Amino acid sequence: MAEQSTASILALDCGAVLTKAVLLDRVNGTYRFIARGEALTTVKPPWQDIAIGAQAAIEQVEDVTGRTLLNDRGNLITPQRDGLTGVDAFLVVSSAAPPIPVMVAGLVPEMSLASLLRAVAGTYSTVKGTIVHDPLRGMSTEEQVRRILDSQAEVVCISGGTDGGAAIPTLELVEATALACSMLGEGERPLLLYAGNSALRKRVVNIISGAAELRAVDNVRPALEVENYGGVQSELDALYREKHLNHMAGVELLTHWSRQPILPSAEAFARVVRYLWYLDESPKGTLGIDVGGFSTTVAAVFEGYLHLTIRADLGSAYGARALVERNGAASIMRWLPTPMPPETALSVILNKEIHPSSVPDDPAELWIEQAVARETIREALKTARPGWKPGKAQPYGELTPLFDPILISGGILAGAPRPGHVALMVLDAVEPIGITTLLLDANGLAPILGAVASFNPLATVETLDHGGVINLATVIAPVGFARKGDVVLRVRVNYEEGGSLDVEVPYGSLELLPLPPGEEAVLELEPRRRFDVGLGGPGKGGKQRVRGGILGLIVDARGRPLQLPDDPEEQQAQNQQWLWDVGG
Amino acid sequence: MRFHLPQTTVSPLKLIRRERMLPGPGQILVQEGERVDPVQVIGIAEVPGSFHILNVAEMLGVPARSAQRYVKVEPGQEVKEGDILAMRRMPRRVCRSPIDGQVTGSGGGRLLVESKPQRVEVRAGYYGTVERVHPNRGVSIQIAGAIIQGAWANGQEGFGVLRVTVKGRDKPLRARTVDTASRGVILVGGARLDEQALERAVELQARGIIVGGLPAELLEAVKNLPFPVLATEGIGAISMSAHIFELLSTHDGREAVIDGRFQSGWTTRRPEIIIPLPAEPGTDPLRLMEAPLKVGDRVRAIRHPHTGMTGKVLALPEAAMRTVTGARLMVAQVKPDEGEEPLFIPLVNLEILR
Repeated sequence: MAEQSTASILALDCGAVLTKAVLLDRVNGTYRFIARGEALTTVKPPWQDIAIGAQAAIEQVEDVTGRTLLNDRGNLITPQRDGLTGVDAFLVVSSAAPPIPVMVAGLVPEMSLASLLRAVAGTYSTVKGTIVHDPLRGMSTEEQVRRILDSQAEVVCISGGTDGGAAIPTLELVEATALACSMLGEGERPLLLYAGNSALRKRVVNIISGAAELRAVDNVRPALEVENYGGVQSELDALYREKHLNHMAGVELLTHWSRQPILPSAEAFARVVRYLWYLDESPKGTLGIDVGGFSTTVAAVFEGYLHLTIRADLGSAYGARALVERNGAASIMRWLPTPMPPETALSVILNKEIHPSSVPDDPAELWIEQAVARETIREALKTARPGWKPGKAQPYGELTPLFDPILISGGILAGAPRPGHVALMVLDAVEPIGITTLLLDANGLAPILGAVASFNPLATVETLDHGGVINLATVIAPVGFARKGDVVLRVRVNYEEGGSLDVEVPYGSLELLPLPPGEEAVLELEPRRRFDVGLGGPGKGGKQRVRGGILGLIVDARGRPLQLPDDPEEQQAQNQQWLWDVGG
Repeated sequence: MRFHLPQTTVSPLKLIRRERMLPGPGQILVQEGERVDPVQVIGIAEVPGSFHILNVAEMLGVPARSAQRYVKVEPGQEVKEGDILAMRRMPRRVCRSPIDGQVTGSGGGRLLVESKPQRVEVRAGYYGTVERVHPNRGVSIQIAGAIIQGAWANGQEGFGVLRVTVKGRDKPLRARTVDTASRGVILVGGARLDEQALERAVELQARGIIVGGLPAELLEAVKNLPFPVLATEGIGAISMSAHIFELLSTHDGREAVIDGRFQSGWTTRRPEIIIPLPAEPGTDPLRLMEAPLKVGDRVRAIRHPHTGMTGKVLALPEAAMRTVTGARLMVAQVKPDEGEEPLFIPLVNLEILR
């Protein structure tokens, strides 16, 4: 399709709930974000045609820009004919297809099975169950077969044994899987993805012997200290594209327009997060969080290496009910700034699941949805963290590694009524440490720019540089313990435009200091002994140049890990205070 | 601009087509054109029964590779509970079948014994006419009647006579209104129901419950009931839409079918109530319309503080408006059915009623 010389680009991000259309074009020789449109995703009944929502979103772009993008029959006009008709390039990213239901089997939960689960977590899959074939925690063959049959999984992933290691238990696991497959009808049999001891591949082929389709990939745990997710992830990615994304109702029209396959949104989003790391190749990591309606993506980059996690069972609209069942209603209620009976909160969560495209039209319901967003991000990070290799970016094992920047995307965050709401949700959920910049993907461009980068990297870079994502705030979060109210950090903000501001930050507080977007300042930080602001260790201060944002500078001195009061009334008062502090 | 919104079907009379499929290949017992009622069996199918995997090698104390030597049965062979499947003479050890069934596989020192497939009868579930037979798989039934799509239900299906127990769409279904006349009927409440009413309904073997909103604290209890419980608006204390309450009240005393199968998330399925009625000449078939929202459309609010309110779209302003939460959203100006002043409601918080 398009080459580097492409001018205008129209891109679609078809999410599970909403479809966004985005127009990028050159303005005075550089790429800019021009306009966006948004419509319901129409892949489900009554429409069952994803192109209807896509056309409606594109029409909104037409209305905003006065440009004609679709012809009388609703087809995309390409290439661009003049300044106001058509576009040169078109592409689609999507997360609207259901994830792959996967059964995961392995020998030792802490070894091959853990590696396999982490590998699967980086794909659009949902784990329907696990099988452990460990003599110490024995599960009979019958139970293994029953689990596979009951799971209705589309794929059974099998790990086990390092290369040249355990053979018999791994083969027994394969036998059980083959047996389960033989009990299913032709069209019902899952695909077998073998990612175990590679020395056993021939014997695995013999055991399966046509009972199911078999694909053997690189061992996910080839040695005790080595993990290799690549084989499993590329197979599951390919399967998701082939059997899920490309089978969505009405997708043919979109792929006909773009002349290339649809890219999974998470993969595209991760490319942008990786790009952000390469901008300064910082010893810190770069973090991206995209909370969609039905899924949440966490992309972390350390030393240039991407760790992608997709929770396809957890989003702002769908998944919260399961969270409440697992963690209790208190896990959501603790983030509310106003009182609400737990059953009312549960009603809001369930009704959101019934009507995923609806939005709060009442402050109390807004607080519930934002509380759900916090827990969704926390849960997704909990899944992601065991797979990270942060190295020097992790000064405190139990805390969040050092990240700069943190890119925030997804409707519940980008669509929050006030910037303070977004900042507080992210601070509460991620608990960043040290100095970090919060970048907000206010227009939902990140996945699209990630996809554009594959054929026009200049467009991605220039659009990002020209406000594609906005600086929400620079956060300074000291690590350490003190009594509430004790001064733990002295900050001097030396504004580039002139003047300075001195602030003493007490422990437990959340301070907002002015630094408007587009302005820069040099911070002089003087932490109290034993407090670490990320400038070389506890008690070490120094100077740091920072850029302004919509909220300016936020000093989050609430402590790490963040502690909330136990009493619900105190929790509400505390949350309300923090909301006021950030201008929410 | 075009705005496609979710839709809810609430219609006084339509020709509705519903499929009843067997859980696997089987035999269809009705013919095209035949009248059916909800309890009539339209087909039978066989589904796999239970299975046992017997570790013969372990039971006989022999290596897996030599276990086959001791096996006395062939794959495909029928066996009775207690039959010897494998035997070792020295020392004497036997492996017996734990069930009546069939040996369906062997290998790796194991035997697979499956019980006989279970016979499953599939009932019509509706009053209607068999429109089409899908050989060995199921039937399509055409039903003339009123149809109401609900928001949530407990997964059960059932039918019975409708009994409207409340005087208004905002009145809760209470235990005192669930009297002996409620035995074996579908109870229709207004806003919600309480735990005592639910207990009474179970005691009196109600055939179903329809309410506007279902309290979240009753969800678990309701999921385990043998009859369908359907909420027309959602979860919480929500009044039933006027439109739906009127339609149900009109048919008080008539038989109705509740299909309470419900799914949300990646796959969605909405529960529904169908009230069979005599078809009139020219009755339209039910069609899911994909047209976008326009001025004059009937809509229903799906979000607090207006949940369940129905009305007509007066205008679709071109510019976004700031809502009480501070968000800027596209809205519709809606004239509520029940005489209140026009309201501006975010478009994403509306459903089209068709």
